[in-house]
Amino acid sequence: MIRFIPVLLLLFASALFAGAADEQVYLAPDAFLTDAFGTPPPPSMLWITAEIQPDIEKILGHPPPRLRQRYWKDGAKTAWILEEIGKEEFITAGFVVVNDHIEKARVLIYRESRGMEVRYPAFLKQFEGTQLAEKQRLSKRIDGIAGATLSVWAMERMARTALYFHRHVQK
Amino acid sequence: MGAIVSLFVIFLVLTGWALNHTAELGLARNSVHTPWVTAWYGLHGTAPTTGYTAGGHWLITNENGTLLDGKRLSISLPNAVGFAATADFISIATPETLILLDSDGRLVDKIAVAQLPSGPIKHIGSVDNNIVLQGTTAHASKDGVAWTRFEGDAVWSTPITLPIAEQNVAKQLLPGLPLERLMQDIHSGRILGDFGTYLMDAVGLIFLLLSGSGLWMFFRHRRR
Repeated sequence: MIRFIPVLLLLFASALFAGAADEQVYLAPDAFLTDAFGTPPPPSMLWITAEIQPDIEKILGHPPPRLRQRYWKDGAKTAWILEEIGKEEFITAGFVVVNDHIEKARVLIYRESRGMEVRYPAFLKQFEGTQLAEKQRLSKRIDGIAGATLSVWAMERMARTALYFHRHVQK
Repeated sequence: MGAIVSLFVIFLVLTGWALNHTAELGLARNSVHTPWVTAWYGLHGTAPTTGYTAGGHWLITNENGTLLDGKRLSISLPNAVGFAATADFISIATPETLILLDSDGRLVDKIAVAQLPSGPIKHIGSVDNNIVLQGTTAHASKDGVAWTRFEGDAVWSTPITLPIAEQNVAKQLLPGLPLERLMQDIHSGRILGDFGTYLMDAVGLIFLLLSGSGLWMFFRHRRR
């Protein structure tokens, strides 16, 4: 047991003093949109009105970070670039929604010092095919990643928001 | 001895719990600006002496935060090149981003320069309730969505010396110490320098002695 103490102390110290990582751009927003649409349609705007604000607040657990959300729409397909805080910094993620199902989820920009494993395809693939179930939850359970819990939760919240927004603009 | 040590235990537990929940408690987002604390840490920065004004609003910014009419914005824009006040928005520009706020300072939209036609923003201004951006080219927009090429004169935002009242407001942007750092230093004793570190080492040693003597008494009692 004693030989593990230095390792535990080192882990504790690194957890305390780890600084914020630099911004990592894994996929530029433009590249994400090109990947989703080929030639992206012009952006549209969704105002987060008093009507939908309470639902968004329930999904995010806090007031919506902005009052106007930009999105791209081509028929039944919409694309959303959303931002949500994992622990301290914003994660920028892109979601493509087709017919109320997530077709694609990508981490575009990651700014936290830990938890960047959420960018891996094996994790993101879990979002494919999910839709909004009761109480604005996801229809499928998303398996977490040890050490990236807050980033995983942020991705789930953004996925739920994208599906909610999609359903709202398709009405 | 036990009573004194128990005070240290309570102190370490409370600060340890706080450090375990830095995100929920917003310890990294909030700073302490109390003069003796910042002086203790040798933080001797100065408040900004210049800012921007438009439509009766004031924007003051530096690396410690951004104030709009004396209210700290949730986003920090130390490299702002100016701002414009139009009927619908207060628009703040940095070379990479255009930030649209409502009249209460709530974020309406954050538009990356890649989504703007003007290229990296050098100047921001207004004309006839339009936001005007000057990059490699100049473009104007009412809503930040549809942009048209602009050629003409706009009221450009330029830094000016702050009047006395705004200089007092700007003091909010004096350097501060993140609460998380302060909590870490209190927890480890480092706030008192080397003395604090050795004090905590000594307290740790006393914990060990008490634990050791407690175990020794426990096993001695069981043997009897």
